[in-house]
Amino acid sequence: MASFWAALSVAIILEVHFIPYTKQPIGWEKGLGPQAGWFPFWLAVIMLICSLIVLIPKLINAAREGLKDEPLMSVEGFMAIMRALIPMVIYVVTLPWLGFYLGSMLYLIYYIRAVGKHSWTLSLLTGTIFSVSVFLIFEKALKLTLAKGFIEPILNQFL
Amino acid sequence: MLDILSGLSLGIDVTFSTSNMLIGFLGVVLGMLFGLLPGLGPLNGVAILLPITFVLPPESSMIFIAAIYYAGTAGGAITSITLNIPGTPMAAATCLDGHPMAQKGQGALAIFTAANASLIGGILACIGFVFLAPPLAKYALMFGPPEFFALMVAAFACFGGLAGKSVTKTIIMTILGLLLACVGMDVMTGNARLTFGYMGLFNGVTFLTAVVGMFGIGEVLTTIEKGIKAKIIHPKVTWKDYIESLRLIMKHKILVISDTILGFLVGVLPGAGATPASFMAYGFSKSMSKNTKEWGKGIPQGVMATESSNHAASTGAFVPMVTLGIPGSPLAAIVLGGMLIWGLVPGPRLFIEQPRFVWGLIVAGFVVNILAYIFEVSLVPLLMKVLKTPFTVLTPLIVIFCLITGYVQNFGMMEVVQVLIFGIVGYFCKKTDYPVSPLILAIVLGPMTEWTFRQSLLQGAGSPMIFITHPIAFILLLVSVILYAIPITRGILDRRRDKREAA
Repeated sequence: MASFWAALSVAIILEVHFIPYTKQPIGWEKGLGPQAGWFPFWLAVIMLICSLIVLIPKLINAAREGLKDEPLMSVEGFMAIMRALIPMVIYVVTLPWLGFYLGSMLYLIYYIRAVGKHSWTLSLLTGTIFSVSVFLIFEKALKLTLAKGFIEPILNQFL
Repeated sequence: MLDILSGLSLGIDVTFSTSNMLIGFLGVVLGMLFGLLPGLGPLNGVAILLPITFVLPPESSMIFIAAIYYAGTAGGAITSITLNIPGTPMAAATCLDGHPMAQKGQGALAIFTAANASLIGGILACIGFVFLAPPLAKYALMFGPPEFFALMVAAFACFGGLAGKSVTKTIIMTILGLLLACVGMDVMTGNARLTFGYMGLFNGVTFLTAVVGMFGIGEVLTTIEKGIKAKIIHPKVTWKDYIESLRLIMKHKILVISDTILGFLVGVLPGAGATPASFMAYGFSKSMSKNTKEWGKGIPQGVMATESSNHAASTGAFVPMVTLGIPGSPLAAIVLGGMLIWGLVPGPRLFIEQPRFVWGLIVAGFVVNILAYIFEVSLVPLLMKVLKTPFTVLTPLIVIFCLITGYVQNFGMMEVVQVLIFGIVGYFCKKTDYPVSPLILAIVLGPMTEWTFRQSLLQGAGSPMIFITHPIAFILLLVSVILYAIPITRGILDRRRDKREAA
């Protein structure tokens, strides 16, 4: 994780000061105080220093004793996370086409049936009831329009 | 005194309207559910349900949030007692004696004792709030940008010095939050910052996407990986247990009151919040007790100590938020972000400009505590059933709620993707012991921190000397430096000692 933070802070330092297109003035104007880029630039510098403080002892240890094979998570844990994460990512990626209502319904039905191993009745019921109630709460009661995807013309008839 | 009475009557006026009472009751039910479900607490409940409040007036929103908060804190105790898994982090210390009590067949007694203690802690802390907040707010009215900047720094330092395991990791998370707050248009110059040339980031990173991502999706992923496998102990619930619990509270009233005071004071300090307060109260009461050996084996005093202090701390955390604009706990940080969206400016002017909101909040604190108490005590057997809700049904529901929350920020897919990314990053942060709360605090306070900093320097004609010539600001900054320095020097000393012992 520390190497991730180090990389991120380097990217931010580059973004603020070195890349011509996004660069900001990082100086200190006399009588006025810091310019727009001052705050992010120095924050990123401190973050880089801190992540190096965490990272360097680890690297020294690794160099001295060889890399230890300590897995970050167990195989079962990893599989469990992936089973939850992959449908989540697919749900987000397909949102522009399926919209929240159809997408949520399919996601719920799949997850409760395939991952939770519950009955078809429970998964179909939860999926349908949840999507319909979200539709009623958001579109009807709160008047907030969520993305509806390709079924938008059909759903709009109910408004 | 007269101010307080007129304020309270205004608050009663606000709280006891039909719609606000209904909203409060709904909040109690939802908060209780979140408190009961292991892995999710009032913190997650407030984070996930906060967007619902954006269509309500601020007073009603605050009543809703307070209801979730208190009921969730109370509900967490039931899970701790029957499952030995903390329903909420605040109730973690309640496992110590609550679960052994359940094993001895005193589960119902433990639940009722917890409910009584939390009611007393909550109510007494609300009284403390009434007397402490108005004078503090009056004092803070004299503060200018340098003092507020110093206060923000002190809040970060409190989170760093008290909350995390490693100061360096806490600093990294705080800075990451401040950097995320910088993304988008700079309010003073209009420059686009940290967008990496990508227009989608011009609107900035809203704190809610980070909150629901980390506390919603991140928490769900953590729970999935751990997997919940625990046996529920089903206690028999009788009225006799209830009467016995009242007798016990009367017998140990000094313990409950002293732990309430301790919890309240810890809550008022920025950063600490209810979880450390409950552990501190447990340790304090244990050391004051005559029969120290009985503690941890199922003694009702243990449950009283943790539950009275965590409720008192939950209330105490609102004192600096309302008076100074500095949240006292991670949850208060989320509420503070909510207040900005409701169009309120947290800080000392709140008492003058928004008396309906402040006094409504105070009276709601009393009412909601009592509502949650009645709800909990009368429905224990039903609440136990909630514990059986399978996590595989909850997971997708929570995920969808979090993503919808992201979407309604701006009605664009950019924020939905951000929620997902924050979820994954949040999961890895927990995994590698990077504390998430300082990040949330920094995102919420970030814009104010930078703004007050630059305002102060404008006021001081570009010279940082202004932070030294203003005494309150100088003292606060000095305290912050000390707060950061203590854990660092302790770490260095520990390492030296280890080396000496190894040699």
